[in-house]
Amino acid sequence: MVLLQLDPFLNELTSMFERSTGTGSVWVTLKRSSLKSKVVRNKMVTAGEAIEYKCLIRATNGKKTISTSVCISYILNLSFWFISVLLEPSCRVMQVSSTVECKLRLSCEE
Amino acid sequence: MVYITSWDEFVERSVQLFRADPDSTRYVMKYRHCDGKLVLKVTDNRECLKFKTDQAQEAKKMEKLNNIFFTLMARGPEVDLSEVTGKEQTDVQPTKRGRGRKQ
Repeated sequence: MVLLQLDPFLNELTSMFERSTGTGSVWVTLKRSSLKSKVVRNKMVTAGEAIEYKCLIRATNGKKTISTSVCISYILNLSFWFISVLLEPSCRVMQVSSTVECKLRLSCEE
Repeated sequence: MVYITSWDEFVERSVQLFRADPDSTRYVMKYRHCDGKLVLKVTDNRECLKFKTDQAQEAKKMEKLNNIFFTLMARGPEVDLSEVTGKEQTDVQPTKRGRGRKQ
């Protein structure tokens, strides 16, 4: 698994979504992580040190896996990315609600 | 694995699951563009909550859940989520008060 910086990760994830438009799935996993082993974390706890947690993001298309870790200051960038790369194209593909479809059908029949 | 039909119930139970065990809980999104299907899963390796949809409106709701989880994971389980949800409340346009017809 490749650990990338945020911008290369987003570029790679965007191309992963583009390559899977015809076939296949993309999985994106979010998990809270300190990126430190349990031993190190326990030592920090006993020493009274504060552990810094980040949001670990992993993405895979079943063949290749990429990952990055995000701190709070980059969360807004990530949120905008999800809107532009995932939500807007997916909304064009996904179904419109049945109530809207009925209204469209009724207006066509008239 | 349990598929939850209500979006609000899925969000509430997911946040509770995360707050109960923030180190084990993960949030997974699976998207198939060829089918137009989105599946969301929140699990702590003991309990699993899933939500699936092919509706565009519910995909848009996912944006709110993403922001909630980004904030919870980066700032911690004790963070006040009204900062995340409160912004959306201000985005809602106030209902127009038209002239009411006196009957």
